Amino acid sequence: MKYLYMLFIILSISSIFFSQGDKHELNKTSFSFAIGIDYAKGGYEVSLQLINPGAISGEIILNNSPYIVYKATGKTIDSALEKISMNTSRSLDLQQEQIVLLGEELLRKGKIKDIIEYILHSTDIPSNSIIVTTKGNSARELLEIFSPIEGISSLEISNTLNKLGKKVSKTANDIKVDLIDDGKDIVVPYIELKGDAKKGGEKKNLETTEPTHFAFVGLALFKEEKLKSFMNYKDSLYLNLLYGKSSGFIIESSCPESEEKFAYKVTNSLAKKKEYQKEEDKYIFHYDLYLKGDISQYNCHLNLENPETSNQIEKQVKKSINNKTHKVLEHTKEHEMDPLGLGQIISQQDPKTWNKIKGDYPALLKNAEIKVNSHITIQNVGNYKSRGD
Amino acid sequence: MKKNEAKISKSVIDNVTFIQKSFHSNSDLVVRSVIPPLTEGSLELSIVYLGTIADKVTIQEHIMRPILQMKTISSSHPIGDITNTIEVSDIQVVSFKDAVIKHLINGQTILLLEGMDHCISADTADWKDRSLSFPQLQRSVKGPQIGFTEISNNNISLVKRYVKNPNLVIEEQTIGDETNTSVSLMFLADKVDSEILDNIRNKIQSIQLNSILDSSYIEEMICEDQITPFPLILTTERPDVTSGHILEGKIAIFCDGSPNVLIAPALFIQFFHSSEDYYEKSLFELSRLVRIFSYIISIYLIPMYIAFTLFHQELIPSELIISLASQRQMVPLPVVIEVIVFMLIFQVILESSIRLPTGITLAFSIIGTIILGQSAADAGLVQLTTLVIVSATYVLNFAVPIQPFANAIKMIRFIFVFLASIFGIYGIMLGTFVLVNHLCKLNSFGAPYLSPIAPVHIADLKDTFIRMPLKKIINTPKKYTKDDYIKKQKNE
Repeated sequence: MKYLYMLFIILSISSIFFSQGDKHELNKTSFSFAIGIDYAKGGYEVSLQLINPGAISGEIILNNSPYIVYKATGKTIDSALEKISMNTSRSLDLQQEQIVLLGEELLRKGKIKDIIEYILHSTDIPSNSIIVTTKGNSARELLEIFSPIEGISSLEISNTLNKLGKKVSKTANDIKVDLIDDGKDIVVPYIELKGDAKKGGEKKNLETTEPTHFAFVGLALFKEEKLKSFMNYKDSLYLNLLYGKSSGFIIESSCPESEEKFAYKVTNSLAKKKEYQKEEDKYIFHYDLYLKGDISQYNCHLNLENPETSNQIEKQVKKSINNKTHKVLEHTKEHEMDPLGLGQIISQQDPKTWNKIKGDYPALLKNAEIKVNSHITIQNVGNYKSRGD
Repeated sequence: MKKNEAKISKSVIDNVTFIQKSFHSNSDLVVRSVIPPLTEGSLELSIVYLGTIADKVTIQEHIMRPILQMKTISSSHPIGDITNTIEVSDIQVVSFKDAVIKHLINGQTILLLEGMDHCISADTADWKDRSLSFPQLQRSVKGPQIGFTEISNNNISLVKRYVKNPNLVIEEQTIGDETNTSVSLMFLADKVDSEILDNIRNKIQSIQLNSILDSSYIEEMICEDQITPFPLILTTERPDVTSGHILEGKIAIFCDGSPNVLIAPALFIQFFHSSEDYYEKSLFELSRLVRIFSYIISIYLIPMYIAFTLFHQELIPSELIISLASQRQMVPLPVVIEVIVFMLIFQVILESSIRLPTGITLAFSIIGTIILGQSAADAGLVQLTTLVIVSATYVLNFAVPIQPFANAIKMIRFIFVFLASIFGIYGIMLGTFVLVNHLCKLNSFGAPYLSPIAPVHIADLKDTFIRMPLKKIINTPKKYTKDDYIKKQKNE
């Protein structure tokens, strides 16, 4: 048994030589929850949102801001980070990074691959941090906003995206997978600033009832590695519906008998069986959607107690889903991109055809058509079965 | 005391002088010369006893009076006549001087006869004792509520009441040259492992201590060949626990003067077992698992806290790290020092509260808990989380039913704290590696300490982590798998 104790001593001594050098007390470290990367001439402008824990919870000793945004430019992200670390009294800890905010301009220039590679390669930034892009403003401007609800804007952004379902937020890993995969273009969620950017950077923003704030607006669509267009929130939800799981959104349809509207609130959805079929020069894709939900606002006059009515209502919901997905497809055809991964479906189910059409693929999507077969379940029709008139 | 193999002399006066000399003319040594008015023959005898431990009423009523009422005595067998006369049940004839002394200090009364080289020893011992009471250290809600006292004979009789079995053997021996403490082994002759019994018997016989005041002396002496903080002998003050273990084929060691009975061999897992486990419906109970879990957590909680906050901050959720970091803003000491200081303060509070007069406990608890804990955090001396972690550790530690076992990890915890503060989680893994190896290496009188977990013994596992129904475990006796490896080593 003595050899065990010898082994223990040897391991202890040897570990001194490879022990971690990053031993830091919590009050010697500066945590960053969000990093913003913008385009700068010949390199990057990196802005780092550093948390000031003393001001957020516990006793407020100094009346300082809950977080500070430092920025620096550099030819590489690391050199910019180095410049930032020169400005602070504490060592930077990027391992708590929740959000990587990429400026619109940077993505329009097609730098997404560089950034993703950097995040995956970096030992500091965790590869499961969420990648978000902006519309209109630079990443730095957004990070400077005081977030009115969560207190910390990075947490507000990540919570907003996580609330919408797992498929909405994208990590570096997800994007890397989409980059490698043939026949699928990248999709990254984007946020927008609502209100005045300058006012948002002042502490007064926390004291007003109409603060400057972020909003999740939709998905940014890429063609190959370049940002091409933004899709609004409603269309993005349909895109998500076709990806797989999404929930908590409203499908608006018109009543079976009149022009009045009713709302179908989706509580659970599942996309199954994506099948591809070639008819002459048309590519037809079949989707099976399973939706569960409730009837929310109901302006129609038909009595919901009648099973016939719910059949009619289901038909109307199906119709509006078909219309919307068609619209989504039209949008992608217009820019010749394939965020739905239709090419992927072809390559999986018919590799021979795929190899033939691979070269001029996204253009061929003009002939694509989506047929959605939705299975609607209405769980709850509400307390009043009819409007009484 | 020097061994005195000499026989007693025929002269009463010589013997009395010898006894008085041996006891240094002790004031409680009573010597009473009696010359009964005999019609036939003559008898001169001295009654010697220690007034403080012998029962005076018995001596007067059952020894003095019958002797004084004697009418005749045969000249050839005076001893036989006297033993027939006195009304004491336990009578022995003694002829050696050291035996006389030994009997006297055990409370017996010695009757010395003129002209005889034997004397009579009558058992008149009356040891002062407290009445039977609740077990103080191992309380239980359900089940027998009786605890051992300091009188070994009473304790043995308590166990005998539970186990009415002719196979129940008691072996008594006296050890300790100056205290002459009687130590008894109790076991079931048909179930005990003879090898373990011989081992324990030899170890007790070879104890070279002059004085033995408590059973813990014996525990320390017979376990001294293995250096470990973990107890290798189960200490209990409950007769039902003792009986249960004896019925499993274990050996109980009773030491006169101590309410704690030692049980050997003891296994690691048995320190988590409480007598209540057998009295409550246990199949759906988690209490044993909770005890094991809290024991393990109480080792690792503080080291993990240090390792996470110093080395692996990326593993802490963001919301938590903000609150941890905000608490640390204006705290002067590094987290390791803070933790160690509080662990020491906690030990001191425990230590002093045990021995504090009841009158001061209220004031002490206010100072100890409110002022020291709350105010230290308010004053910005320590971090609140540290307080929570340290106190949670001690609360978890108290879940173990047997105190010596709970105390065993005090030192281990400090070692883990140091390892964590230098090497982080790597250090904790290193410590665990050595700890587990150490536990595997231990054996309690030939039974591997971690049995039946390592080596695995599936039949015994029925009563390890959870208790299976009684009919499955009681009638099939446990076989604590003996360590063949260690036995082989010893034979070689």
